[in-house]
Amino acid sequence: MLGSTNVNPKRTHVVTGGTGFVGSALILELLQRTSGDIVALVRPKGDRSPAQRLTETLDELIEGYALPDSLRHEVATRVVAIAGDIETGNCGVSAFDTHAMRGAEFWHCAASLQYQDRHREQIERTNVRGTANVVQFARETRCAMFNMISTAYVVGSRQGDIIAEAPDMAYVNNCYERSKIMAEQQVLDSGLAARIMRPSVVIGHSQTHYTTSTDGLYGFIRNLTKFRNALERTQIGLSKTLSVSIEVDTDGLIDFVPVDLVVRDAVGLSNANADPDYYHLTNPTPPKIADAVNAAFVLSGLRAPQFVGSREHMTEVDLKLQQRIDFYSSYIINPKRFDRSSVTAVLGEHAQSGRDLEGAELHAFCNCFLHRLEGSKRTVAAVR
Amino acid sequence: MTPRPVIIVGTGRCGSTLLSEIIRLHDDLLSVSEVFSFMTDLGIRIDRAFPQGLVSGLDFWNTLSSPQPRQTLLLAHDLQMPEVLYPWRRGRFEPLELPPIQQAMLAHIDTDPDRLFDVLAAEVPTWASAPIGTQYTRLFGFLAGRYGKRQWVERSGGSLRVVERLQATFPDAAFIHLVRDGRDTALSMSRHIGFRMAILCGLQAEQLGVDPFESNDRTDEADLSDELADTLPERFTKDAFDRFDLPPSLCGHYWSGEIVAGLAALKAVPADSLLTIRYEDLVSNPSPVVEQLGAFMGCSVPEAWVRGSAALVRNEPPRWLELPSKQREDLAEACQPGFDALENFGLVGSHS
Repeated sequence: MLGSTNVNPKRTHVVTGGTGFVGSALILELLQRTSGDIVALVRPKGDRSPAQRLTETLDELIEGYALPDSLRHEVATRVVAIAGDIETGNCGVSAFDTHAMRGAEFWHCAASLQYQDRHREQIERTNVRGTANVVQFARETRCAMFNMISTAYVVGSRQGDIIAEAPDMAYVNNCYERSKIMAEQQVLDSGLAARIMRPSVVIGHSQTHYTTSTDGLYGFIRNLTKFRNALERTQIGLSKTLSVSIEVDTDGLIDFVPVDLVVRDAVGLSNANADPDYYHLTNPTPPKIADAVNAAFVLSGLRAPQFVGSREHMTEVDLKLQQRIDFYSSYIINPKRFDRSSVTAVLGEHAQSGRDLEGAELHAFCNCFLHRLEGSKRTVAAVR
Repeated sequence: MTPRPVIIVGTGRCGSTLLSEIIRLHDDLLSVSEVFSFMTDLGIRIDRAFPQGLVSGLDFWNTLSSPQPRQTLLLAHDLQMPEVLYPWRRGRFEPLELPPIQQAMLAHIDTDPDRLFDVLAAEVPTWASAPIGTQYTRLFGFLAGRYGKRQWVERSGGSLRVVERLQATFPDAAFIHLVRDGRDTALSMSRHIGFRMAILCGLQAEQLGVDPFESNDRTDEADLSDELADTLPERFTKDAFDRFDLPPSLCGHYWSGEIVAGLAALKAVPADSLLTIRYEDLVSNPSPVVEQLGAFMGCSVPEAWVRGSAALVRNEPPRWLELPSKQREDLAEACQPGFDALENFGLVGSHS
């Protein structure tokens, strides 16, 4: 138990990362399942105001997720976008705006999803110091509850059944995982009543497959697509003739969870006045790793890979690919089953029951992203 | 009858520099070296080297004389390919200013490349607008006339890649295709500054979705591996470049691709305008190959030229055999499609 809480159905919700993949879906879920106002802290970017950025994002998703048009009115009347930047003190919010958020429930979704060591400073600035700033800001507003959207992969290289509990830094694979553990610790140390919510690999909408994410499954696919392009640049047709080996635990499951199911559980926990605790916002029925990896390869235009248990016999080209997708290793080796009992204990039959992601359904998620990727494809110089 | 121009093509690192040296020994032949390697900025700015439509003399000169970003970046970081012949000590250009035709071509022709550069600077801009093939032909013809040569022979490392462009640009040219065992070629590529740079830049462009030398867009930079990110032009260092891991087998795949595509393109060349020779034949028994070259080009074959050419040759054992066994296997497998294509082409014994 990490603190205590009270609930108020008209409570204001403050959301960081509201233009991001999970944050934006969360706002739409809150609009549908609560009656309070929503304040989104949005970082100014370019010549578009925070309100413009947020409205454009939510409008796109209402269409992409096939949500009722009436939600646009809810966005216009209940959502306020204010300029904020979690990387600055008080999140860059004025004293006047701070006062308006008094007693609100916080949803901290903003995060950097970079993972390479060379981005360590930026990752820590956003995920660790940024979280510290949001926590401090929440304390000043006397927030009623602090919900942190973390990641199930704070468990790093651990495998098997994973209980939702405090993580162990000894298992981290990269600086992203490390930063999320440190961020969780910031929240726990704050004394705020806090729920640590840990989604797994978040994918598009369960019904429409629509996504604005470029990370997780989609980052994996994007990297495979670029690897295919590099092979084709090296030798025309090579992507169709070369079968690469990849290190995979073929018997394991990979926890993809549609974004709408993540926010359904998240808002459900809030509405049920769930205790401060750790919660796995994961898929009760995840697909097999081998199926997912095969689908990603084939749909990216590569031959289905050969699965190997170690890198010992890999070719130099295999190792080049492995280097490129190392970040995703924590998804495809050391398989994990995330225990959802803390969620189901609160939500019972109202907990989301997962999404069957076998075969054509999984392909539909991949293809939806590939279609977007194709639309944004840029032309590089002639090679002949 | 005016002798036809000759273009030597190959995958790069196939030993064609030796052919340029042999051509240079001949009294009637102007050896034009590495023009297209540097005009395309290591095989990447292909459209710039072969523009469509009419090109004015001034525009042509600007292309010949404007420094190119990749090759000058290498020089600025003390990364000089063996092909670069510019005499730094007595020359007036600094690395970042060195024009593409000063990298190798002019110094290969004249011991005072700066003086020759000035001659061309006065001459080329006065030429009337013409298709790019005409402008190159004028340039090489002008140089041949200036040095009392009857025929020009151009050779650029890796120009098999652009053989279709060369055919379209020089429809009257004859082609010599030099072929070398892909395993040694690929190993040499993996260690050669120019090829490492070309492949590095190609990988960066594919990952970024833009050519980092032509665009500041770094939207997809997070997709770059550390070694590709560390060698972006704005971050480039010699150490980072040296750390770039280019496995020989990746170059083997590249070699196979070049051979397969190149042989397909060369099918469009009339049989009497194409000579294919093996590097291994040239270095193991040079005299008959040099005589064959002379006969194909239609030039005289003086004994002194054959003898002088043979004296240039060094026949060294294959380096790829020195690789660890796993690397040798990977390399051989990567080169197999290229060997198969050569065998189908009728070049039996292209590897052993």
